[in-house]
Amino acid sequence: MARPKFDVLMVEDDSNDLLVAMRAFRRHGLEENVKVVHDGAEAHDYLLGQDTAQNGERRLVPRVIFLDLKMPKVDGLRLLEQLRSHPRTRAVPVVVVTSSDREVDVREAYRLGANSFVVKQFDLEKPGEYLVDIARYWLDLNRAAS
Amino acid sequence: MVFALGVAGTFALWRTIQRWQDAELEANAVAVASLLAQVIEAQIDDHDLDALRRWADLSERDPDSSASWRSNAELFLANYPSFGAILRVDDRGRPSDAAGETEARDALRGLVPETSAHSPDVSVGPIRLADGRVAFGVPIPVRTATKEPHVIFALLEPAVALRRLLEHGAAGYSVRVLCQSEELFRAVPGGFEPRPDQFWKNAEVALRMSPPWTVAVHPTAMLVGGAHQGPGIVALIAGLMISALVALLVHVSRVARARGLSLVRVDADLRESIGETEREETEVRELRGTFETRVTQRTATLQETIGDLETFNYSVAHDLRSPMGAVINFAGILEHDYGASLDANAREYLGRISASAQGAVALMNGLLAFSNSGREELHMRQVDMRDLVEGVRDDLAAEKPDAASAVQIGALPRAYADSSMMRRVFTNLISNALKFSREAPAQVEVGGYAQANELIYYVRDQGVGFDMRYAHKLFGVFERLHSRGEFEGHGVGLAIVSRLVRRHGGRIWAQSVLGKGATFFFSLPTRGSRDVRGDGTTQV
Repeated sequence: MARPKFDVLMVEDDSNDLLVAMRAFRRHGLEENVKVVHDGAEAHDYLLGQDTAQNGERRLVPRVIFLDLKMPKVDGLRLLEQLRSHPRTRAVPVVVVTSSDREVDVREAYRLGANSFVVKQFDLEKPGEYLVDIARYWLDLNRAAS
Repeated sequence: MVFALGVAGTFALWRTIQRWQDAELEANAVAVASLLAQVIEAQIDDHDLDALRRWADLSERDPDSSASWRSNAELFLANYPSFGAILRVDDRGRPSDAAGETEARDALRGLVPETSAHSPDVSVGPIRLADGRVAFGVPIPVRTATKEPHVIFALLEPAVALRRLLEHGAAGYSVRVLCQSEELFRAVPGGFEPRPDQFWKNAEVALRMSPPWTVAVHPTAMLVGGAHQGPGIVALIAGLMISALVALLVHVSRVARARGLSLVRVDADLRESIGETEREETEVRELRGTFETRVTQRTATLQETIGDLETFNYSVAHDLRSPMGAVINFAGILEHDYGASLDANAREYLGRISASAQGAVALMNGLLAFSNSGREELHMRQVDMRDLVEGVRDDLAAEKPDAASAVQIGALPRAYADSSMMRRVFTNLISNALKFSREAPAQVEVGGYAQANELIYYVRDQGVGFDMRYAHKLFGVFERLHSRGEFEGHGVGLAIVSRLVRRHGGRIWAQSVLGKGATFFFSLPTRGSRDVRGDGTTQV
């Protein structure tokens, strides 16, 4: 099944984690489906910025967003709040992928409308592949509101 | 006639006092107390005493005079029932009738301050004056602009009068000085116990002893009935006056107490004493205030420091976890993508890098879990502990199928607790018990019982046990009683268990015989006996 571009928007500022994630996506042929932005401000600009001739592609809304919490400029929770208050992104599933396992972050993320909360995994055997599994779930199994 | 005038004067004053409105009473109490004291002093002046004695000798030979005194006394008592009340109460003498005694006691009881309402005695305390003398006084509640209502001692001169009386030989009434209801001194008709000089020596001692002090002045009912020797009449008059003064001050005290005000000062000595006391009290209060402020500040600083340490602990563990995780990931990628081109040595080193990084991440996970165990909020509710432990056993059995048959669950009382934390406590204790049970099949027993104000739960195994000498190290962070080679783990599990239990207001402890298994106990307070706080401490 041919997938439209930008199925997954990955909001991640850690270059190590990005490298590992993209390698995993590449190995499973999903590289093309993943768009990366490096912080909350860039994500906001990408998803909710003004429509211009230059950024027409930005009208494409991802089917799932992987969101890191600890980021420079606009942090993950703040971005999540913005996404949930905008009609364009209100219904897009957001999976928080973070190194934080603090209960307060978990609770706050769900309160602000996250659909899932995942603590970053370190895996010697299959590094980063948990992200592929998550992407597959949201892209192949999950039924989103149209 | 001097004493007759004295009596008349005293009673005139007393009658005036009776008529006073409360406000006037407050305003005039100082002057009257002072005046009464002077009257008493005058009445028992040595010269007057001789005159009285002579007059008494004469009157004794004159039955009419005696009858006249008796009728006068009865008349006084009839006119001034509160005096009668005081005079009729006597712990040794016989009151005129039983009903009268009860009535009299009740009347007197109404006069004394609330604090000693159970006793007809007047509570006083010894105080030291500026010149070093010791005197007894009646407590008077006072209030100044800068202080809360408090009590000072206001009765001074009557103490002097009392001494005079005692020195001349008390008759017709008794004076008892009590400390915490034990009688220390007693003046009785015809004698004094101990001797007067001892009395004042003892007063010095009394000053250093702890209150409450009580002086009970009890004119006898027999006096009222007459038929006494001359000195008895003197004593009657003096007793009346002392009674009047005591009654006055008790009344003032009562009124003042009820209104929470009035400052009573009798003389310059006392004023000075009060001034000193007030200054001292102010100093003490200021010192106490400073001390309390400092304690509060230190506590705040300490809590801040603890908070900082927790945050530091968390950030270090958290921030190191990511780079260590990256080491694991890239070691994995290196091995996976380039393993074929590495020789055996290189692969060995890579394996060591991975293992170390994994160990570090596991350690940090433990630290984070420990840190979180102190930060999480408690969500208390009724928990079916048996249900909970069965759940824990089933979860453990998913990983270690043996666990299902190894864990025997006995009676477990329901508890008021945070179920998620209790789940972690039991998971930790039971998996520890399984881990340290080397010989299959493992035998782990879980049980509990109620005891006094707490519930006790335990997890018992037949495993390797531990040396009780090191029991104190069991619950510390990163403490291990076995080498990592023997048993896996990072020494965080029991520290977390301990913290979770303590946050519930409970205790944790363990018993073991090396090689013969161990039992871990923890307690939870029953619902009524606790006040659980979220910061790891408990107030009971």
